[in-house]
Amino acid sequence: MDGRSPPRLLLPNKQSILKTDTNIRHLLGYHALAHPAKAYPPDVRATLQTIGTRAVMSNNTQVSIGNDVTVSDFLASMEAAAVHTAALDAISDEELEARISKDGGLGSSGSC
Amino acid sequence: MDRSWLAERVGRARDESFVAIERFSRRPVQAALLKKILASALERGADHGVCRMALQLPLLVHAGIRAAADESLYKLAAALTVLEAGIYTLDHIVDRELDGPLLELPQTLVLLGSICLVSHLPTQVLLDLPCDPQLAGCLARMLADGLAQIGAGQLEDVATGAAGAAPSEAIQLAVTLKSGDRRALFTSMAATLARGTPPQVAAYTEFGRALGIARQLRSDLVDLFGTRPSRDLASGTLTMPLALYFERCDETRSAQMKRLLASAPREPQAVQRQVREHLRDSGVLREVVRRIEQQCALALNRLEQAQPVQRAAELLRDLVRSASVLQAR
Repeated sequence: MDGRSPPRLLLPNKQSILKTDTNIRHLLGYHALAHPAKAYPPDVRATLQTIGTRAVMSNNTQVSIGNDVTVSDFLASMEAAAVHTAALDAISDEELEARISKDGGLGSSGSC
Repeated sequence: MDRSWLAERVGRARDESFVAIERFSRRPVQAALLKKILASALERGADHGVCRMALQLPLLVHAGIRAAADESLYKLAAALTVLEAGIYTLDHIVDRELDGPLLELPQTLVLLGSICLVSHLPTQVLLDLPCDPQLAGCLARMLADGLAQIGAGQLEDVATGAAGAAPSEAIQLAVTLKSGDRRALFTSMAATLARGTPPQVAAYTEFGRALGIARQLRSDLVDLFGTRPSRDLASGTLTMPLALYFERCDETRSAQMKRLLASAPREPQAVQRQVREHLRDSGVLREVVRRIEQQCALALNRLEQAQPVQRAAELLRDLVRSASVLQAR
């Protein structure tokens, strides 16, 4: 560290993302951790990658990409997605269906 | 793990919900009807969704912040329980799945009773909480805002169902609003009553939302892959698995699936079996499970941020595990 403040993170595309469409804004916020990168529309994905890269380069991954979800959260979700994919790949279709058929006490859909 | 303290609190909050009906109903016949609806929703036991989500969840979140329970907490859990029972019953009316004693009543009566449970009763209970009036008012406002969100979700749900083959994003939005935000409302109200710090309240809110979404997606899979006949296929409800399937398949397969779904009322078992095969072979089954696991991971992450005290933490984690396919015990 040279004592200077880290460079200010410029997010020129953030506002344009948020203005694009309410669904995308929703997706960026509530669902940023729920979706793999491939679930995003290509333009949003590209912007997220840009934001993520800048955040990592500037050593500030706490910048928000909407609704209190930070770049750090987003990157963590990407890692978690990879872990889940590996765990899922290790289970056969039959085993998966057997696990699902145990309803886990969810009851009917009206009480989820 | 000692669960006796939770069972005791659940029992007390459960009793409080009947007391609330007695207290705020204007006429004995009204109270009797509302109690019958509430009892019907609760009778399925401690592992059922109503009990887990409306009684256990807020009690556990509160216990995660504050060790002692007080009268306000039981009344809050009672308000959420009557609300949940109303939503649960309305859902069954819409899906024509009323059963037990409620089936013996005129449906209009059950409908009106359910509306009482989701409208005036929870608000009356909250406004009468034995706590700082400002806090009670804040909770009542949270409830009103939350109900608006849940209502928007139900409308979204109906709109996507009417659209026939809605995009998965639209389904996801409906799931978030109607299920995720309902649980977010419950957890945020409990954390607020417990006087959690703003970061704690935010963490519990996100925890509840992720848990609600995970449970809804899991329930959609259970409906199709469980042991009982599918309710969603019978009612023509488009859920996430089928929305993803339509997005992924070509026009020929899409037309095949639509024909298959149209024949569900005539041959429910055969159709359900074939739908399962299509979802499995197309990779949609795994995709939905992966989404469930991501929501569960998010819920656990937010729970860690909320830093609940030990005896509540493990039980809250258990609620997440019950929604998970990979972590289920």
